[in-house]
Amino acid sequence: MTHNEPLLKVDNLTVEFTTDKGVVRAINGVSFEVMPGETIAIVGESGCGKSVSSLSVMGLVPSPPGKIVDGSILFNGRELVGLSEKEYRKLRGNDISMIFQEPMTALNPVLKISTQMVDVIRNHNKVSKQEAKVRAIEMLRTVGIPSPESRVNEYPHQLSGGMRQRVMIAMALSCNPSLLLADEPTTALDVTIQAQVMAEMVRLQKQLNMAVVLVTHDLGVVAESCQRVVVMYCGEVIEQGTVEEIFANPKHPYTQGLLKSIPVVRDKKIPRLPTIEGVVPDLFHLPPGCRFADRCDKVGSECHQGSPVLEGDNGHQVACFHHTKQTSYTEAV
Amino acid sequence: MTDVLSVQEIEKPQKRESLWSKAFEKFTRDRLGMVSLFVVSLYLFVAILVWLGVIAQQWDELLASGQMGPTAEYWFGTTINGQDIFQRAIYSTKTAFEVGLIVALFATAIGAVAGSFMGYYSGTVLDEFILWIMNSIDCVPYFLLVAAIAVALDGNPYSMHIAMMFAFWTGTARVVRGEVIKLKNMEFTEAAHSLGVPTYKIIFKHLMPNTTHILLVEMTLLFITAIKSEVILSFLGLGIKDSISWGLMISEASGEVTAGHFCNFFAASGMLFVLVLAFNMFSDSLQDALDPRKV
Amino acid sequence: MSDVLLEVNGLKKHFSVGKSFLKRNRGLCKAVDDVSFTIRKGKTLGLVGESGCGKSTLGRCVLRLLEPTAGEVRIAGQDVVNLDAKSLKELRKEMQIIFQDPFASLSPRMTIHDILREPLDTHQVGTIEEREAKIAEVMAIVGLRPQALNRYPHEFSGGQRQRVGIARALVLEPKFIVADEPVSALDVSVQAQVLNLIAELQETKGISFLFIAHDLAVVQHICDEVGVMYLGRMVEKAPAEELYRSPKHPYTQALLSAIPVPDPTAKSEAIPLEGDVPSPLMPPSGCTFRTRCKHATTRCSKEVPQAHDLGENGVEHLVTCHLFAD
Repeated sequence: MTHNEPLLKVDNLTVEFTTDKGVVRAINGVSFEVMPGETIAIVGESGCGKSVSSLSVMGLVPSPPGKIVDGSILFNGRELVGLSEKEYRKLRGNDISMIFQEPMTALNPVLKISTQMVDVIRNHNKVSKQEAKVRAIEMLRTVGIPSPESRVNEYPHQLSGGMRQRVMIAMALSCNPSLLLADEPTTALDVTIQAQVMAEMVRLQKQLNMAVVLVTHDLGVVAESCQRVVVMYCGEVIEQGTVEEIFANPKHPYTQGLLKSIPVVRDKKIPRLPTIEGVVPDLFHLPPGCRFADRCDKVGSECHQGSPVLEGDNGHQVACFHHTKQTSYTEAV
Repeated sequence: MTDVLSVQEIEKPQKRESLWSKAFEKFTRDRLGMVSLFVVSLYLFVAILVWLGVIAQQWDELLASGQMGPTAEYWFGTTINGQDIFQRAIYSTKTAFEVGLIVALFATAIGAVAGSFMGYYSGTVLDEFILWIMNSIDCVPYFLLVAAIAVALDGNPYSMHIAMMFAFWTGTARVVRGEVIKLKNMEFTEAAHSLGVPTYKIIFKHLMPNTTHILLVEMTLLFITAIKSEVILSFLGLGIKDSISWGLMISEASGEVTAGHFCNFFAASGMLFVLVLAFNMFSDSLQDALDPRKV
Repeated sequence: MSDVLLEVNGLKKHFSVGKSFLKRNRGLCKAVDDVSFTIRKGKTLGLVGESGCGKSTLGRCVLRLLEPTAGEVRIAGQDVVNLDAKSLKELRKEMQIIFQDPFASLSPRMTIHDILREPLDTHQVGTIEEREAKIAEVMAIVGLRPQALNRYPHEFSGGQRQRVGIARALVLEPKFIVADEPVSALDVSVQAQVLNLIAELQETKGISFLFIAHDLAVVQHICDEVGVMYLGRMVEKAPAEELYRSPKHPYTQALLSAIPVPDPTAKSEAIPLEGDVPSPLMPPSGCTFRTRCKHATTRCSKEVPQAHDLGENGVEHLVTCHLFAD
C-alpha cells in the first residue's frame, strides 16, 4: 500500500567536486522518487555518480572538495539540502540509515559489536544500556545471526564477511528507519552469501515496511529484489522505470548494451559477448551534447548538439533522442 | 580489435605525466611549501657562495679590537676576540649544509639498501640479523656513540659526520623495511617473479623505486636532525673542531651571555631556527605532495 | 605424442599458521588438498569457487610462485616442482600469469614500455629491434595505441591496465597462462571486452588457460572444462556445457542457483546454503561440505569422498561426493 506522497524526492540534484584538475560535476540534475515501502535500485558503472547520489541524501558528501550546488532532497516533505550537521545527526540512523560495501572497514575493529550497536540505539532513544543491549540482540536474531547472545560480545574480526554485513544491517535497522540506503552491500561477498543476505534484506524490508535504495552495478540482484530501477551514466539519469519495463523493454542504448553484456548462464555458449564500444568518458573532458554519443550505435547528428532530457510516462522514462522500440531483452538472449 | 583509447585521449596534449610532475604541480600550489622552499634555497645559495670562496672568508680573522655590539661595519657585532659575528654566522651556513647533506644522503642510502633487503627477506635470518644490529645501535645512548666514534676516528675531519651516519641509518631502514614488506606482497612483485626477473633486480628496480617518496621525506628529516645534532655535539665539544658552526657559536656565546653580550647567541640561534623551521615546513609540504594515495 | 599440456597430480599446499615461541603450531591451513587435473593444448580449464576455496593458491602453485607441499606438476611433460632455479627461469617463458587487481599488478614507477620490455630483457630475447617489434605487436593485439607506451599505469582506467597485464603475459609467447580472476575487479561492460580479448587469444594463439573465477557465468564462455572447488578440494569437474546443464554436486547446484538472474520474470530458485564457509584451519571431518549440505549423512562425516566419473561417451564428469558412490 503506497501513499501518494513520495517518502524521498530528489529533484535536479547537482554535486560538484573541486579537485587538483579543476571543478568536476559528479552528478548533474539527478531526479528520482522513492515511495514508502518501495525498493528502488540505482545502477551504473564506476564513476556514474550512484554512490555520490546516495551519500548526498545522507549528507555525507565530504564537504571541502564536494558541494551540492543545485537541486533539492525532500524527505517526508522536509528539505535536506542545507540542513545543519546537528539536524542531520538526528535523522541518520533514526529515519534514514545507510549500509556500505566493505564490511571489513565499516565496523570499528577495536570495539565489540555490542558497544557499537548500543551506541547507535542510545543515540536516538532514551534507554538504558541493558535495554539497548536487549534490542541489539533482538536485531541480530532478526537478521539471522545464530546465537546472538554470545555473538554480540565479539569483535568484528571474529566474524566472517557475511556475518559482518548482517551486523551492519542490524545496526542500520535498529532504530526502525523508514528509508535504508544500501551502497553495494553485497559486492564484496561470495555469491552464496550474497543470496542469503539479499533474501534477508528483502524479508526485513517487507516486515518493517521500509523503503530501500539499493546502489549496485549487479543487474541480477536488481531483477530479483527491486521494484524500480534508475540507470545512471556519467553523472546523469538516463533511464528509469519499473523493473519489468526496464528489463523487458530497455530504451536507452546504454541500458540495452549493459543488459546484453552481462555474463549470464546461457543455454548455449556464444563465441563473443556483446560489448559497448569505447570507454566511459573522462568527467573532465565530456563530449558536447549527449554523454553517451561517442559510444552509441544509434548516434545521430542531434546527439552531439543538445543534451537529451528524461521523457516518458510514470512507468518508464528515458533521456535519449532516439529511443527505439527493441524486442524484449529476454528474447534476444 | 576494439580500440580502447577513446577519441578524447588521443587529442589530449601528449604531456608526459609522471608521478614526479604530478607531485611537482601539487607542491607548487602549496603556498606555505613554496615560501619555505624559497627560504631554504636562499640558505643554500649562501652556503654555495661561501663554499666557492665568495663571501664570509674572513670569519676567523681578528678584525676588531674586542667585543662590540652591532655597528654599521659589523652587522652582528664582534666576538670577544674581535671576530666578525656576521661572517661567522654566514660561514656556518656552509658547515650546516655540509653536515646536513652528507649525513642525509649517506644515511638515507644505507638505510634504503638495508631496509629494502630486510623487507624483501623479512622473517629470514638475514632480516633478523640486521634488525638485531639495528637494535643494538639504537640501544647505545646517542652521544656516547658519537663520542666513541669520534675518539676512534680521532683526527678525521669527518668523524662527526660518520658518527651521525652510523646512528641515523636505522630509522630510515625501519621505515623502508615496513614499506617494502607491504610492496613485496603486491601483485606487481609477483608478476616480476613470474617473469623470472632476478632477485636483485626486483629489489632495486621494482621495490626500492616505489619507496622514493618515503626516502625523500626521510632525507629532509635527517637533514634537520643532523644540523640540530651538530649544534649539541659542538656545544659538548664533540663536533666541529677546525671550522665554525652555529653550535660552536652558541657554545662560545654561553660565556658571553652572562656578561650581557647576546649578539653571538642570537645570530647563531636565529639563523638556525629559521632554517630548521623552513625545512620542516618544506618537508611537510613535500610529504603531502608525494603522497601516493593522492596520485 | 600426447596433447596434454599441463598435468597436475595430487597437489597439496599446506600453510602452518600461528607458529609462536610458546605454542608449537596453532594450526595447519590446508589451502589446497589433493587436487588433480589435466589441461590439453589450446584448451581452457575454469576453476571456480568462493573465497577460501584455494583456487588462487592452486594457480600460484602450478606456476611455482608458491612452493607446493606435495604433488606433481608437469608442463609439456617437464616436471615443474623439482626443477632447479636456472631451468625454472627458462621454463617461465612458457607459463605466465594475469592478475586480478589492475591497480596493484603494475609497478607505479614504470612506464608501460618498461613493463613490457622487462620480460624480454630478462630472458634476452632477440635483438633490441626485435624486442621493440614484439612490444608493438602485443600492444596491437590487446588493442592499445602506441602512444600509451610512454605513459604510467595511473593514467589508465582499470580495463586498460588489465590489457597491459595481458600484454605483459603475452610478450614471451607462453603456451600456458594462469588467469587469476582477471575480470572480477572490472565494470560489467569492460568485463565483456576483456573476456572477448581472452577468447580471441585462445583461438588465434592456441594458448591454454587456467581461468580462475568466482563467477560461474563469466566462466561459461571462456572455458572448455570447469572445475568447482570448495575448501581446497575439487568437488566437481566436467566439460562446461555438461556442468551447466546437469550439475551433480550439491555445492555446484547451490552455486549455480545462487547467481542472480537479470530477469525479473524468472522465479528465484536459489537453493539456500545454510551457514558460512568453515574456517580452513578447522575443516569438517570427512567431506568438508557436509556442514552446509542438505543431503549429508553419517558417512559424510567419517569418510573423505572420492571422485567418481559419471560421464558418458568418453566424456569425463568427475564428482567428489558420497551420493554417487556405488
